[in-house]
Amino acid sequence: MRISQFLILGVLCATALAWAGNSRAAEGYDNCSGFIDALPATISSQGVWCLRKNLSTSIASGDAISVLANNVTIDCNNFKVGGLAGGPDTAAAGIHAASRQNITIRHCNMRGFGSGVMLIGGGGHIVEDNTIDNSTRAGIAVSAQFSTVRRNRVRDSGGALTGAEPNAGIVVGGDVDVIGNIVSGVAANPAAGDADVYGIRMAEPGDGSISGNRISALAPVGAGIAVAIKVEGSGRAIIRDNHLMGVADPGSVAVLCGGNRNTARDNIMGGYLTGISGCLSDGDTFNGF
Amino acid sequence: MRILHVGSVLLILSVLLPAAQAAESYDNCTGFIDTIPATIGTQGVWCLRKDLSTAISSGAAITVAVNNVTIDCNDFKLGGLAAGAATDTVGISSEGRSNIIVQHCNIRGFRRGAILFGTGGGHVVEGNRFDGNTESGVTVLGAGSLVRDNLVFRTGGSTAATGAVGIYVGGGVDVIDNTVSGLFPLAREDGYGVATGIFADFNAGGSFIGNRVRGLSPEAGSAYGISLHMSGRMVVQDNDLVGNDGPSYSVGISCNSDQYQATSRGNVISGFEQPMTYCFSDRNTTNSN
Repeated sequence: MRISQFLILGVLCATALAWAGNSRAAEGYDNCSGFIDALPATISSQGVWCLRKNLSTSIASGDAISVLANNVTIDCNNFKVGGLAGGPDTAAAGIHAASRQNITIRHCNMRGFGSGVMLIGGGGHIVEDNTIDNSTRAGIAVSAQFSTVRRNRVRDSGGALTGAEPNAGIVVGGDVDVIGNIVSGVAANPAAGDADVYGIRMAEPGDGSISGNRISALAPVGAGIAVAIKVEGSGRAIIRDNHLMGVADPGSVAVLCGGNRNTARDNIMGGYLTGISGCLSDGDTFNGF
Repeated sequence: MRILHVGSVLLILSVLLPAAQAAESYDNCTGFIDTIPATIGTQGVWCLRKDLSTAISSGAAITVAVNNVTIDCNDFKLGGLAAGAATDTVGISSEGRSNIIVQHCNIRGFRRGAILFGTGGGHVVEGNRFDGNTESGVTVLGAGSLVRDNLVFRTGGSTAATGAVGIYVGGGVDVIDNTVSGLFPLAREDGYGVATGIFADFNAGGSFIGNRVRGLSPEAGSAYGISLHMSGRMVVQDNDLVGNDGPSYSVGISCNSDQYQATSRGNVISGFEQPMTYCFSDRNTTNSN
């Protein structure tokens, strides 16, 4: 009996390791149109632009990587784009594009910028599979139609020394989908007085889906409140299947909608004073203990 | 019992490991598509290694004429915008073939982005952007096929076609985790033009799961989030569907011709004049605010 148990266990181990190996193949550079080898950098032609080493900069304003063309993919190949040297009040953007179409940002490790990724205007953007930490204002900011922010890990955002805008892990505007991200740790600006913090903020009315995200460790200042997901205005956003964990700060709200055309369904919330506010709610679970 | 426990742990660990990403190496490319129009006459993996564009106004940019072909665009663009709103061109076309895969493409400005039809089946269309195609993004007619994880946006505006459809399937196709956003059909001469997010035609046995549809904006005419025609026992589950709040007639999920054979469950349907028609309904959420 014991031998057969070991045999079965061995088969399970071999199967799991083979499976894991297949899913962790090294990335190649074959499809790279060019490489980003120094910062700051400007991308002005279409194609797939890659990193092949860790990069850092000490700029405190402007952009580490500025994208000035449509149909551009930035693939960091899991290398770092570092901005910590810009200091705790940096306003620099890690990767920035304005009024461009179809920008993809993936596999980047963005550290210590004002915003790790900032895509404003245009549309069709995808921000996926990035690790973004120590952004002083927002980890990811995407205000562009037809865009998707998915499977990112956004950690320890906020804490800039200046600025009155509430900090957030992810800020979107327009019809943007925010799917399967982890937002852990958002701090208010320490000098801001009473400052709110948000895990995910839809800052303009939109019809996007915010689903399957996990949000925790929000830290407002003073009489500010923690809101895991805030949806401004009266669009038709759909907020479903998110896990929202709080620490029962005064005034805290798990999902706060600007109007009841927004819909919340099947979210699980614990550690907030209020579960759902302002949205049409169906099937949500609120742990008030 | 212990074996089962260890197996479960290994399974969970393997699932938590990073998912495989795009084929960024060219190692498995049988050959390259460097100019269009192109015809693939040999089985294997055919890759793009740069952006490609064409101004042809009929035919197909890429024609697949054999079975068992993968088109991997490696995130590069396949562009047809130059042919204008009257284009009759297809981005990628295959008729009567089996096991065609289209992946990692950015397909822009064709009348139909990709169309795989005729006898045959087993097709997969996944991980693509379809942007600004004038009649439809994806059309797949073939048993055992799958349309997954595509971003289909800004579809419509054809002066050669009537109506606009994000994803059109038939023959038993699964449509999973796609976003269809922005459908803008022009009105026909009779002043009518239908916007349909996902359309099933004789698609018995197929499942539509976890899709997001919004931005249905016909110039004149009706709007459908998901529409099933003669498709029998389909399952429509966990989709986020956002309507346009009028003024045109709109339906979230239409099962009109199947008289309750199709099952609709766990969908969020917001902003449609009619949330559902003739579907068997269980635990759906409708928001008519």
